[in-house]
Amino acid sequence: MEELDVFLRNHAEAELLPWIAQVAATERFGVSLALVEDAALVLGLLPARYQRNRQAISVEQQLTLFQSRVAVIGCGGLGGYVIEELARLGVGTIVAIDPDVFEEHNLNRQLLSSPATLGRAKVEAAAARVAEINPAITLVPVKTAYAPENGSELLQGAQVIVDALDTIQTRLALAKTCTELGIPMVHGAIGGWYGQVATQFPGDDTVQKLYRRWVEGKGVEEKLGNPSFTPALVASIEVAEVCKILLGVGEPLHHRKFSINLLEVVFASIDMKNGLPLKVVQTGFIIRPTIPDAKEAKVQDILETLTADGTFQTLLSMMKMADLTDRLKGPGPFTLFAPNDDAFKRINVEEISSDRENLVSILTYHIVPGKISAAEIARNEQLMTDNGKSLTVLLEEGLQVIDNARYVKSDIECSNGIIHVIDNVFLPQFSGWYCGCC
Amino acid sequence: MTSSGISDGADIQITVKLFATFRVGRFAETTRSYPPGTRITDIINELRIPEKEIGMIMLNSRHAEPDQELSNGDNLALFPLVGGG
Repeated sequence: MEELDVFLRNHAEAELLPWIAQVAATERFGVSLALVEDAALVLGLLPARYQRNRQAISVEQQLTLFQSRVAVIGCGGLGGYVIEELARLGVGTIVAIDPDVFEEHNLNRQLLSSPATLGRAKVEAAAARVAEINPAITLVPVKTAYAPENGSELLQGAQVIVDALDTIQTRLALAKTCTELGIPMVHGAIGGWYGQVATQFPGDDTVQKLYRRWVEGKGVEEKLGNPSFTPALVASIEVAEVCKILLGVGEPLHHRKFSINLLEVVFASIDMKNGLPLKVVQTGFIIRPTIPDAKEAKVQDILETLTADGTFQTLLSMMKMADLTDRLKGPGPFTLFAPNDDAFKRINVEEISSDRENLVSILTYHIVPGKISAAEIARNEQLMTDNGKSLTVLLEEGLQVIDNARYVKSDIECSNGIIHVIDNVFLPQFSGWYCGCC
Repeated sequence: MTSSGISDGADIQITVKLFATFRVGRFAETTRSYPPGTRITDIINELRIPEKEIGMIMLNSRHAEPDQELSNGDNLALFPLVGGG
């Protein structure tokens, strides 16, 4: 299709391909819109409809999305929004699975429902909607209920499965099918003002853990129903998860449950990995503070160590301003993430030190109770700080990243704790979640 | 507070955190004294939460079972089942 390529190049303006040219190409060459979109993206030309994706998603990534196949199980409250957002995002093939037709009680929240679609199959409405909003996208309507028996046939070939189901029993079956097929599953569920999202990768048992106490029946949604805003929000988080998985970017909700309470506006990210096996009666914290022994007593404390080093002048002066110097020579034990003077050059020091309360909040966000080595940190996803907010521990290109910083030097032993030198300053207003769990 | 009346050790302090609907008519978070030997299920019963409504129990950020015995300073979090779509 060299002629098509030439045509597309000639009709692109600043590497953007206008919709009118995309349509003209289909007519001139007798090919589908999908084929034209694929050809354009391969040439590095972005269909102009995606130009506002561009700050977040590159042309290469847009091609990846277009060549992806995502299955959405359920086309109701969650599914309607999920399909809408996947289509607008530019995911090339969407398999929509649902046996139902629209009923009147769907109208308060289900995006694809309207008085005109009452009695119509939900998957047909999904196909019509996608054809209307982004006709280059292929929507495969499957008017069948997902079941373990047909799961393999329905879901084979999808890169991600989106859970937009409305029963716990079917979700648990779907999680099992996804595991068997080796496909990541983005789980979402809603009830009243509440919702949850988690991403299960093959080999995880996150969904089973979420419902491990379930015996039968429905959850809180049975009493509370589902208003319009909760499915829209939960579906949006699910689509963001799909996008990250397809592109291999960011940090999906792996081994985490994102718990949403819109009534009191409490969002919590809960570690799902540390499941105790069944029937174990022993309790235990993940991190136990190490009590310094007599041998370590000769070692300098954290304040002495920082002062002697000489590259922590800014940190020390800020600690003084915040009246936290005594803390650094206190008994501890605690862990200090110490930004060195270079790290403070990356932020506006004057601004953060102008308000004492803000300064205290920032500095205490660098202190974690207990003496925690870098190796122990690596085994955690969240570290609760003295500030009351948690720091996220990530692995980026094989390197440990704490919140926004990397280690300059780790594991400096002190008499009252341990210092890890970092290359950036943690700013609590930009990161972390208040631990909503324990 | 529950009391078996036979405990001879000091009471233990347990922090209980409730999520979503479990807060309605109860509390979001509270720390209370319980007799030694208190199990998670005792607290669930005291709060009159039907066990079949519970989706997940976390004790000190780990998954736990109702028959687990609690220790002083434990943090317990209870989550209801959410299953709509």
